[in-house]
Amino acid sequence: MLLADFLVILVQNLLFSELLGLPSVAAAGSRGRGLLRTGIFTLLFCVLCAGAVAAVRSFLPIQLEKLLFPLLIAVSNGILDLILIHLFRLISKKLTKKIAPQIHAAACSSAVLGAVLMSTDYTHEAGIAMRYGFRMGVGFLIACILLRLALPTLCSSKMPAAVRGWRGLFLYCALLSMAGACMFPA
Amino acid sequence: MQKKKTRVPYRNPVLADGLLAAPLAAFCDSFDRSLAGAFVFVCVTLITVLLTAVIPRKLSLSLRILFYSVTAALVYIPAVLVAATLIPVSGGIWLPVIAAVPALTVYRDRYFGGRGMLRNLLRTLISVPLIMLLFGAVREMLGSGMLSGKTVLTYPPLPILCTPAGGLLLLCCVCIGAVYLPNRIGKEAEPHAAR
Repeated sequence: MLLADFLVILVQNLLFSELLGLPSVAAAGSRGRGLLRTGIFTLLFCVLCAGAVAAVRSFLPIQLEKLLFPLLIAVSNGILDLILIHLFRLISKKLTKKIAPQIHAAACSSAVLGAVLMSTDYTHEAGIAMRYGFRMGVGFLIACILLRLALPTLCSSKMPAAVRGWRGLFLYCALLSMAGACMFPA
Repeated sequence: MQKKKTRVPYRNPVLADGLLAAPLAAFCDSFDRSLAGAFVFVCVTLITVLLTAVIPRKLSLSLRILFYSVTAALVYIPAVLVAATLIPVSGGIWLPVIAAVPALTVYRDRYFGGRGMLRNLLRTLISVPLIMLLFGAVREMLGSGMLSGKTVLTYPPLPILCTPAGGLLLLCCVCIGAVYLPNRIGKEAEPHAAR
């Protein structure tokens, strides 16, 4: 089962198969250090938001479900963002200042939106939706780790100025996406 | 001179910060889909930015982000309903993603805050849909040899452009060109100006 989950994570990687979450990765990547934190918070948001939306789903009129999902996701992500910032502020204000941009980026990441919207096609149950969100989030985190490893080279002064930073990161994502599409064709 | 020429791409959320990259690369693979995307983007951006202008800056960023996201998601509902009647294309998960652009939520204040809000809004509302439409048309033409469903080329030269990865590659080329070319032109213009 673990192996199956791992394969699904590789195949259904949001960043490389759907190119979701690129702006948050680009924003975190340009600063250099926040990429892994963005990945971890995106994982957290994917799991909790997928569960929250699946739990509330039964109260929505079926005809309007798809239209209301973005609203539900925006509300749940916004509330979770508030709670996280408040919790971290209780621990340390310095730490909050450091990680707040990544929490905000994860809350507004299209990766979370995409993962939750895909989970709504997949299941009605909160537990299964959370597991689905976890898979997607782990895939995103793995992608962030891969990009973090490549980031020093992509942002180094040896790169031409026009390609340096997020543009190089996008090029790298596009190449990885192509490689992924060749390895795991749909 | 150089500064003036590089200003246009740098004020564009797509070319300057890579926002909207995912919908552009994955959703805008044909002219019709780009048209639907551009329509939703214009409606949601215009109404959301104007409505959220009344939200005081004194509020914490988390609360402001919550208000911005909820407003965009609320505006998305009528916008997508109108788009579905005007341009019937399947949006999938991409139309909501277009409506939840970071420029409207987490970076809303950076793009549309302060004095030049209306000017920046107008610039975004013109430049981003234009890029989306051009991008969709080029991808459809080179990728499948068609334009808005009609055959234009007998042999599509670059079928890879129909894939999300091909779209992202093209977008990268456009973004890199948008930085490289104005700088290059500026450098070449400098000696002439000195004379």
